Amino acid sequence: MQAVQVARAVVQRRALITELVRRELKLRYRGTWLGFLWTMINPLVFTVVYTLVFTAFLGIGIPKFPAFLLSGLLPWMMWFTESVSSGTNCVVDHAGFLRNTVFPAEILPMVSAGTGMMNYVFSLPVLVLLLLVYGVPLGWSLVALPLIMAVQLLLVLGIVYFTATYNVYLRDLRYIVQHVLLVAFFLTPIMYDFSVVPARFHWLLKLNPMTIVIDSYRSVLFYGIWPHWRNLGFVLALSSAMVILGSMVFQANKETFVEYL
Amino acid sequence: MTDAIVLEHVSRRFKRFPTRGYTTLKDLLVRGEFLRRRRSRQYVEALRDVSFRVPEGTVLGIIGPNGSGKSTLLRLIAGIYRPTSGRIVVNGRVSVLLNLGLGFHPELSGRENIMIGGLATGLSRREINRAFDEIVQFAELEEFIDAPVRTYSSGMYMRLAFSVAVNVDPDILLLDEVLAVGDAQFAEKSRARIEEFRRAGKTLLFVSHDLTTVEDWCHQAVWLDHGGVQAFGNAAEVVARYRDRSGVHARR
Repeated sequence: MQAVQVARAVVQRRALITELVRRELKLRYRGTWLGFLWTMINPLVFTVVYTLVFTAFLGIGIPKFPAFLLSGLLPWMMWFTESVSSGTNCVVDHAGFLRNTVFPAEILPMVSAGTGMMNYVFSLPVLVLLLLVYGVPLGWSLVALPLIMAVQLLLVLGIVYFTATYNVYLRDLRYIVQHVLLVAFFLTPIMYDFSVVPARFHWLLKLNPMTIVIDSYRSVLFYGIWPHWRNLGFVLALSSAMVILGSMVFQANKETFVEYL
Repeated sequence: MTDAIVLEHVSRRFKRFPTRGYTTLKDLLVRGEFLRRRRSRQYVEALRDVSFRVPEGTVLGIIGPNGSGKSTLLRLIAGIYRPTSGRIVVNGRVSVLLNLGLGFHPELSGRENIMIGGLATGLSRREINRAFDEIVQFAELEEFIDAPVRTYSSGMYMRLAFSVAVNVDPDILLLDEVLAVGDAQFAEKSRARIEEFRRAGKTLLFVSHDLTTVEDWCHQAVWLDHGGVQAFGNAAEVVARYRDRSGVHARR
């Protein structure tokens, strides 16, 4: 059973996975002065510009808007987009490894998902700082944060197993993914709250499982309430199914990858 | 004596790709390759019905002209490719050195590459740390081990790759045309290491165009031509027959 094989791969190869995640993070900032700050600057610039447009120009009155925005923006920008776009190309990027060494390809999507997660984790202090500056109380609901992250990790992994596999055969996929991510950014309640969307459009937002994930982050970090457990449970089930199915697809195609690289 | 490697009627074919190895959306939509694909698919048979056994502790040379399937054979034994048909049994941990250094990341230091390379072969962190000094010393890279690999000369690159491959304690070592690189002194050292390796009862397969080396080092040799086994057996005899045949070709 492929899913069991994959689960076993995580356990057996955890040292290699952490080493590769470390490599990804290290390589990104090697030779730069500001290092990790560069990754943080992106969402921060975003936050400043959006605050200006939304609160000053349009006069939309979400209180503590920068804290509101960043609590939903970070898991999207630092992690989701990051992991899905680099993950889509992960097999192709490691062509040299896969063709010339005995290399466990099935861990590459895990490396992409894990790298994004670490990216997010490193950005959390900035968010906490901003929350404190805006006087958002950090409550007990924070203990649910690791759980929401676990759900997102599975969701990202499930997506990447599929996109990484098909990107080997159809290299357009990485560009398609970029556009889907852009559209999804606007159709996910990141810049706005789910509650302000008219009910007749709810289905459109719910097409995207990240809607529930982002909403959960915001509940826990910004509103200080528990996430909607039933919805989160639904995403957890969906993500797990995607990981199982995706890893099966990946494993089934693994043997043919080398011919296409 | 047990066999380290057994190949039974192993064949491997590859899809023939017109220009590149992958499709783009344009190909699918504009040229309708979506519909045509199955009908027009052509295959190249890289290996045809290859069978032989390699007993433990053997040094086997693989010879043959370019494109005869030598590297494909190594990749099959390493498990990078699966055979299209036939059976391959490999007993022991395999270390493989194909296209020098392509398993290295140029931006990472030698130290980091050793760690990743070792973990990928299936060693634990502790085992790698234990072998680390030996790897660096053998590669003569003590001074440069923390510099990014992209700053290495090709000789340094190849010494590191070779050193990693032989020092991760494999039972079976597969080398693809690597002994030709490097200076005389390092070649001598490599040879000594391989000799040591052989004496420890380990198995070594190597592809080479240098027939003298094959005669000197190998017990056995296999001569591949167009994916099929032309000859298999005593290294000196196989090389002699190969020389004979190539000589005839040259005179024509």
